Amino acid sequence: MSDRSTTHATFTVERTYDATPARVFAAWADQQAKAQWFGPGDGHTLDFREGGREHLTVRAGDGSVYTVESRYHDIVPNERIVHSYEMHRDADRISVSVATVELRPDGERTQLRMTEQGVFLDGHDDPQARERGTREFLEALGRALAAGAPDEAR
Amino acid sequence: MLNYLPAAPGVAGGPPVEAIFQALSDPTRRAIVDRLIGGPASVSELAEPLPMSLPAVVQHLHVLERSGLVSSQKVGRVRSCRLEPAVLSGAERWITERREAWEQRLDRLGDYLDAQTDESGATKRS
Repeated sequence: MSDRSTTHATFTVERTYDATPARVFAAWADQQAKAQWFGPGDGHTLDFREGGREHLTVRAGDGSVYTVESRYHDIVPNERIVHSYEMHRDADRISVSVATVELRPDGERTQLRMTEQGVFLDGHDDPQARERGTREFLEALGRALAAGAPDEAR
Repeated sequence: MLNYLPAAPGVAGGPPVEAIFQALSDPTRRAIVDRLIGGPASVSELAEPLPMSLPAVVQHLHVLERSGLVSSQKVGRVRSCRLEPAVLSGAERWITERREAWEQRLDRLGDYLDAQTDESGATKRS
């Protein structure tokens, strides 16, 4: 594809867990623990320390291979993890992001806030995929609006 | 679950997601966007199937243009409209896919933490 593009975005996901910050933190810090929840992968290495790296390979259903290369910048045990990562689909770099995980005790529980800030590069997808994505987006939006959005929905 | 207000993901330098959402909240504007998915079209082509006056269609197009979803360009005497796929499929998809991936992961983290403890207690995630 000839057109180069950049799209910047930030989003946040929050969860509260019935576990202490130490237990939640441990689930990120230990490779074997993290492999159990982080996601399906065909290869995962983790060197969890400031300056350390993480590598994840995922083979998608369509045959393309996604790789995630991370670097840990800031680690405050039981409180904060800042890492950056770049994602490739096959040979194409598709995004570069900074992800910040913050843990806060909440009584017996732990609040986790994950913030990702990134740049999405070149919209690496073919026109059909793009069009399909657009349609899916519109359909999802239509469903969201039908399912009880504010007044203007209809 | 907490609210994930679309306010957070400001598509930096681009239109806020609310503007996109609002632009698409109207059936006429959705019909226009649906038509433009198939390719660029002139204002009169867009207006033709719609049961309203040309100025009314132009009003709808203005809303879509303000949201960044649609751009238009005058070619000779014809104004041609096109979808800005970067707005729809770039920014939105990027945010949506990445956020969904994180939501699923963090839910699995919750399951993992629950499975670790033997206490069969109430498990709540908000």
